[in-house]
Amino acid sequence: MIEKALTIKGPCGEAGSLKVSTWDGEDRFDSLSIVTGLQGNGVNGVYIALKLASFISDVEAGNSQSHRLLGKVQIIPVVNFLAFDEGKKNWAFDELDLNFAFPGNSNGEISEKICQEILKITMDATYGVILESPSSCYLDFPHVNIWDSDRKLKKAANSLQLGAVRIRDESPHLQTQLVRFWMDREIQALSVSCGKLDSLNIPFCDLVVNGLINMMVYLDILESSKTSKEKKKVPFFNSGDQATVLANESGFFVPESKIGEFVEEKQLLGKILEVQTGNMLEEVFAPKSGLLLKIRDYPTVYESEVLAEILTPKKGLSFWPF
Amino acid sequence: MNKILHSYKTPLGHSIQIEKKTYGPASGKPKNRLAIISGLHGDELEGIALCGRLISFLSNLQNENPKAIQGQIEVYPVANPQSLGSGQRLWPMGGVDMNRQFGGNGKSLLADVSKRIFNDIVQNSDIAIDIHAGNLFLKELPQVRIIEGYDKKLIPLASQCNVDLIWVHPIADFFKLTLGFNLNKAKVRTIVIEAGVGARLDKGIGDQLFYGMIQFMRSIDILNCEKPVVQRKEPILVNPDEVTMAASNNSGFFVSEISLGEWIKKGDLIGKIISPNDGSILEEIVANSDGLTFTLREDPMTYEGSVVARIAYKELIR
Repeated sequence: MIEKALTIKGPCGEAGSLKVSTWDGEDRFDSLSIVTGLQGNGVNGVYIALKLASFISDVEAGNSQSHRLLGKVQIIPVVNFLAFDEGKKNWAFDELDLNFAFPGNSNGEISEKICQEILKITMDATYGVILESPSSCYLDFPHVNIWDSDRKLKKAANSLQLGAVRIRDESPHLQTQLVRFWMDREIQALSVSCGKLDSLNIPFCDLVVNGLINMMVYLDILESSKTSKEKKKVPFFNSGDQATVLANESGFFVPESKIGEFVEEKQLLGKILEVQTGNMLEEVFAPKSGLLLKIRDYPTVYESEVLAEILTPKKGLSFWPF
Repeated sequence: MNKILHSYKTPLGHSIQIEKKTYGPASGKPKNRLAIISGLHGDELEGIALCGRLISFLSNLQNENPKAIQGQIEVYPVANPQSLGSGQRLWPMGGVDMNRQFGGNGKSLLADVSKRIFNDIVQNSDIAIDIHAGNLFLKELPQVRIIEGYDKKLIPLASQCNVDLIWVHPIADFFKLTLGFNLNKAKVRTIVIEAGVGARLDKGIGDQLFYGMIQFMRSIDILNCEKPVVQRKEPILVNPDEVTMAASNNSGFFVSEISLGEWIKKGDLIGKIISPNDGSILEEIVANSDGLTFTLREDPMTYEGSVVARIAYKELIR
């Protein structure tokens, strides 16, 4: 079922609608809300959402030999529908990043109304997943973020079978984000990040689609007759298990390593070149061994900007179950 | 004295500098130490223009009557030079809001620059003034905004600034990332001024703020000069439950029937929402209380829920 949860009138007619797709299951099972498109150019999340919607609709219609829907699934594929129609990260009218506008206000400006409506729509979910990508300057290897070490949540994060699970600390920036308000409402909240804004990475998206199907099976929201393959070991990283690599020079960054690789300490990650001459301004090396999770993908770089993030556990890799 | 607080290079090698100007007594210890900062948002021009005018005034004073400067004044006129250069609120590379970089642990150029400015103010000042303008939509009467809890400490200072209004409001989560909140937390008494509208200058507001700063510096014994003479405004103190907001229920063009700073009565027409398609009146927005219009919509385009005015409706001292 597709519903218009909120319709915005523009000066010359309808400006757009917040649409929610729902597949009802039985109440005795957990329910899952998947929210994406908080940024209008978050095309990876939108692609994952549409692939999942197609899959679940097939399952619900009885077209799947291997799966049966048990719990309720709700997908909001494009939260910032006004920005999506413009092909931009934020709606040009107010330039607000919706993931920094929660909890919103039902009597407020358009962006505040949208955020409040998202909280209202998702308030009964047992699990909430936000699909996101970093800014178009960076490329993320598909991974899961959680902000709570709850055992149940860790198991759910593990069931996605992605490249890594990061247990994050709450930062002040989290205070206005959707995940914070889900946690306040005792929704088991995860975010999945992959690729980058403004660009579709289908192999990464396919990993996440399969991951979310695995998770739904694990949570008994989906029943699967397929024999489960041997599960791969997903490394978990705590908040301190990270080395952030910063640029010492401004210039043109050319990467030499790929995300998803385990890099060795002192391995070359990339070079910063001088634009006029092509001379080397800086060679950038990994400060520690670990999983290269994020790398700068847009070459123009300022000094002190982040070039890469390496997940580097203090005491060797830890895998679920601990 | 001019100091380059921080300098960084663009990818093409141009140098971007964040500067501060310092004025102090010719001899002896300063009586008070004040920081004035503007330009965290590149399209909020009133504060930047004000700082320029203050620098010119203080430089002349230092040459002509140095004894008049009894305290220390540090002026940070443009905290975010690249945003000013591109005429944008946000830092152009990545669209980052500089006034959400304080109190966090972010790693980026802007977070680094913000930290340097913050640390410099904390080390060198006891009192700070952070000057902002309204956004591109709303024009603000010169006002001081104070987060509840800091009101007792800050109202005596704010009342010297020649503003029309002091608005004490509750804290929202995003304030915890702002310069003003974090300076107050670090025990630098900090006043946040909002005045005018984004990307525009208003001579009347500019004059009001300039004389306000002169008066303020006199009130805390930083300046001891007779000129210019200032007729200080007595601001209205408005508590959180004494502000009403008028909003549009329709998309269209807001055409105001009142002026910023106007005293209005309950039932007065604030403005109309006009259909851009046929010119018909979609809505008449009326005041739901008596009071002072201290915010008024400047950009006519509205959607449902767009704020068109804020009214301070305290039992008014007219």
